[in-house]
Amino acid sequence: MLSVFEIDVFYGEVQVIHGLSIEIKKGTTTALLGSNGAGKSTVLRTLSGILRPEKGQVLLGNNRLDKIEPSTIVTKGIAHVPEGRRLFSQMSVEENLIMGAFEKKLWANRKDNLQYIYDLFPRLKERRMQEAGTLSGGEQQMVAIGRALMSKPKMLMLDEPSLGLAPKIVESIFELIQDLNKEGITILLVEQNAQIALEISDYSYVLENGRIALEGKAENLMDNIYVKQAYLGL
Amino acid sequence: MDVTIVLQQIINGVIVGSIYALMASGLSLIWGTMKTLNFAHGEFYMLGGFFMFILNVQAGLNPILAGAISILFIFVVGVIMQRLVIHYLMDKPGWDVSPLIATFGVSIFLQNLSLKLWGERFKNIPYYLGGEASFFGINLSYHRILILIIAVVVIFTLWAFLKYSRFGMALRATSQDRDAATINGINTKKMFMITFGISAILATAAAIMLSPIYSVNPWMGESLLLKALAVIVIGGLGSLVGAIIAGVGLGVLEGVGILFFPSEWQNVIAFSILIIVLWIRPSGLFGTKEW
Repeated sequence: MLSVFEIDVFYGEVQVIHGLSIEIKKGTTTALLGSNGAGKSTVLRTLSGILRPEKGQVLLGNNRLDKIEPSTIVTKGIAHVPEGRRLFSQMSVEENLIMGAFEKKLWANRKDNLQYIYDLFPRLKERRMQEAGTLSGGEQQMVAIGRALMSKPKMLMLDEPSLGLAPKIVESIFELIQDLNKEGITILLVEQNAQIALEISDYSYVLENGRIALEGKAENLMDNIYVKQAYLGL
Repeated sequence: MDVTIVLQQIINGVIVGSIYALMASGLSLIWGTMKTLNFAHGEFYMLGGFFMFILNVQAGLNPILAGAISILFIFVVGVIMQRLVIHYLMDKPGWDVSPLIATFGVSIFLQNLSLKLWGERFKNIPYYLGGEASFFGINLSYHRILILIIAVVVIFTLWAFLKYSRFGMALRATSQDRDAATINGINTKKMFMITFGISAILATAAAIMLSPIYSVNPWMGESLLLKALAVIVIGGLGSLVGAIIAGVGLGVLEGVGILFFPSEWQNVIAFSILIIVLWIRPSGLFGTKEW
């Protein structure tokens, strides 16, 4: 579905990603693992157009995503749940969700989509008029995921959805991710919590200093001594 | 002191204040989205005055049509200014102040351009409505009542636009988190251009209403810009509610102040209030909350 071919990405003068290639197959769950600062979020930010690669290509089918206007990427079916959730903190929960349906065609059906999100997260319906910035971390993550789902994505990219959340909430969020995948949404998951990510993913990449250090099927990686030591703490 | 005089001055103050609010909300909108001040905002106002003069007085169009065309033109001027000047200076690390300085340049350029084009002679636009109303011993020209009505309608429309329209919501989203706006499909570059255009419209609306009272000339925007700057700082940068309340409040205080001080002390009143507010609440009255 989506392939990244030998991209170099810079923050100003500093090169963060070095000749990185990954392949995300339709309908699968792919995990991007690695320690803090390995460049995981940078990869997602490049895929969603916030950053541009200096070299290499991002291809969706045969279309170059790294050459089109960044704001049109979501209309190609790629939705991004960013690190730190990045809600519009002074807008209401409902306004935040509606922004996910900004594209003209989606905007016309925003009420129906909203109902779908409220069915998924009844909690958000209770809080719909509340300012997003005043929600708890778990609720904010629900809004972030809900907002991304409002665009009816084919592929959902999640950046550390477990960060700072209680274990119980993390569990329910990962259950939700699995359900969404079963419904046919391709998942690209960035996680520091390698164990939980490997459990739900089909294929994984391990990033180190902006390069792929290791890749493989999740079950194989789980047995890999290196991964065990470096990320699972076993 | 006679109560009717005080009442008269309060009403006059509300009317002048509504124009301050109109001007200030345009500045506030730009600060909210782009985190820069626009020192050429007074020149949008000035161009609005000249367009109105040309279309209404010279071409003889009726005020509504002349006003509508002026608004359209100045909207385009605002959009072009953002695209040609601000666009290139935003987001450069270490260049944070450069858009602001560039707006100074645009201000000087536009003043001199209009001086070249239209000369230094002051031009007058007749009142759109003649006559005056009297009630409770207070006299109020219909034109001033019209100013208040237009200002309230324009500000209310702006508020409703920001609150409920697809575009207005996108504009607020852009101001709160640009990257998040981008990944939701909002073209923030376009948003910035349109924000400048809308801001220019607000200044033009003020110009259309005030030009018959003051005269049209290349420097007419300067003093009002200074007031509008004081208003947005008092109200809290980026806060639309703050701009409205501080605008009207300042208008009333100036109006009443004239009863106690000579009129040339008007600016002293405005800037004294500014200093006191900065002293007590450095972020302005509504400074913590963005619209």
